[in-house]
Amino acid sequence: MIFLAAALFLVSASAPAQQNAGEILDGVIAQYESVHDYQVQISATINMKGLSVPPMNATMYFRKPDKVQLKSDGFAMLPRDAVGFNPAMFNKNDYDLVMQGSERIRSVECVKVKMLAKSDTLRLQRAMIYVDSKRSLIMRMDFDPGTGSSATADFTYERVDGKYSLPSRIDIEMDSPMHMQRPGQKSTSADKSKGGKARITMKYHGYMVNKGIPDSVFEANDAAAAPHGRN
Amino acid sequence: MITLVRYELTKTYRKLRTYIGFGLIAVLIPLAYWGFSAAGDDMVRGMSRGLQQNFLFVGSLFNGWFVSNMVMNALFVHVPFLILLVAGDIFAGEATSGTYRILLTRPPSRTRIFSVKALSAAIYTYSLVFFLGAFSITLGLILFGHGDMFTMRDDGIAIIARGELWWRFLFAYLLAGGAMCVVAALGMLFSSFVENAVGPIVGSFAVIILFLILGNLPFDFFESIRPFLFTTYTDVWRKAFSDPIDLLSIGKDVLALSAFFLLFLGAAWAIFSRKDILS
Repeated sequence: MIFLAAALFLVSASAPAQQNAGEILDGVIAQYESVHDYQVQISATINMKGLSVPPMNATMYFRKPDKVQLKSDGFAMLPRDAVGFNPAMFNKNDYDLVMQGSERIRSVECVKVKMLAKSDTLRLQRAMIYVDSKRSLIMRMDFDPGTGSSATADFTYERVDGKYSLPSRIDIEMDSPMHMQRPGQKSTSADKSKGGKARITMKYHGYMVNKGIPDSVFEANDAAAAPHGRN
Repeated sequence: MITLVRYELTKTYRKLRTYIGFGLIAVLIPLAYWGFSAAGDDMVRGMSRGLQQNFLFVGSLFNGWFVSNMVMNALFVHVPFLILLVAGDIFAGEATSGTYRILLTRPPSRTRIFSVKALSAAIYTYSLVFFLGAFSITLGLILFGHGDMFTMRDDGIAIIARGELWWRFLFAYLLAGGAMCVVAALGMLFSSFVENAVGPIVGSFAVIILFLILGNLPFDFFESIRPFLFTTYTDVWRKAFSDPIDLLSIGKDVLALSAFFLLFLGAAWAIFSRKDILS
C-alpha cells in the first residue's frame, strides 16, 4: 500500500516536470516565432587530428518551417548536427522530455532538458539541452552524432535588428571521426591518441532576417541541404 | 660543354624511344580523365565516407587539381620505366649503334662526356616529369575546373586551399623530378655495364620493383632495411601536400636521394672511365 502511494506520488510529481520541459521547449521555439527566414554567412574552422582543412566560408539560408540550405563559392565542410540548428529540430511531439535539474553555463543559470526521440527515423536521437529559461535560448547541447560518439555544442547569441536572438557563434567539441590506419601500417601510441577530440568553431555574421528568400535557393543543385528532423 | 650538351640532347630527342614516355602520358591521361569523369564526385564521397557521417560537404572537391593529384599518384609507379627507356640507353645505345669508339676518341675527356650524358639524362627526366605535370593539370583544370584539393595522406585527410595549389604542385614536381633523377642514375649505372639497352631498362626496373616490394612489406626485418632502399624516398613529392610542409623531413629525403644519386652516378662513372671499348 505504501509502495502504491509512493508510485502514485512519483507519477503525479513527474507529470508537471514533463509539462515544464514541454513549456521550456515551447519557449525556445517561440523565440523564433517572428523569424520567417534568414540568410547568414558562416565562417568555420576545424581543428582535428588527421584532418587538415583551411578556414571555410558558406552561406546558410533558412526558411520556416524547416528549410535549410547551404552554399559555398569554394568548398566547406560543416558539422551536420549543428549547422542546421533551427527551432524545428526541437518539436516536442517528436521527443520524450525529462527535466534534469539546472547548471550554470558561462555564468548563465540554465535548466537541463533531456530529449529522447520517439522515433528512430529522427536524426537527433538523444540530446541534453541547457536552456537559459529567462531568455529561452539554448546555451549548450550535448548530443550523439552517431556511431557511439558524443558531441557538445556551445551557443553564443547576438541581437539581430534589435529583436531577434540568433546564434553568432557555435563551438563544437566532438569525438574525432578520424580513425584511419592503412593496411600494414603499425599503430603507435601516438596513433592511438589520435582519436582525440575535434574542435569546430562556426561564426555567423551578416544576418539578413525576414527579407524573403526565393524558392530557387532551396532547389539549387550546387547547394547542400542541411539535415535535420527525420533521416 | 654547352655544345656537347646540345649535341647529346639532339641525339636524345631525335630518337623515337624518347617520345614513348611523352606519347604514353598523352594517351593515358585523357583516358584516365574520361574514367574519372564517369565517377565524378562519387570518388571523393567514397574516400571521405567516414567524415560525411558527421560533416556536411558543401560544394564539390572533384576538380582539376584532385584528378591531377590522383594521376600523379597512380602513374608515379610507372614513370621510372619511362625514364629508364632513355637512361638505360644512354651508354648501351652508343655500343649498340657502334659509336662508342668514335665518341671516346674525340678530344673531350671521358669525364666530360660522362657529365654531358648525365646532364642530358637529367634534362630528359625533368622534361618528362614536367610534361606529366603540365599536361595533367592543364587538361584537368580545363575539363573539371578549379577548387580546393582533397588529398589522402598517411596520417589522414587534407583539404588544401586553391590559392596554395600552384606552388605546391610546382614544388611536388620539382621533388618528383629529383627522385626520378636517381632512377635515371641507376639506369646509367646498368647501362655502363652492357652493350644492349634492353638489359639496363629491364634490370633497373626489376631493382625498383624489388625495392618497392621490400620497402612495403610490413615486417620488422624489412623495416630495418627500408632506410637503405632509395625507393623509400622517391615519394618525397607527396610531402609538398602536407600541412604544414615539413621542410626538415623533405630535406632529409632529398639528402638521402642525393646520396643515392651520387652513389649510382659515381659507380657508373668509375665503370665508364675504365671501360675497354672492344667493338
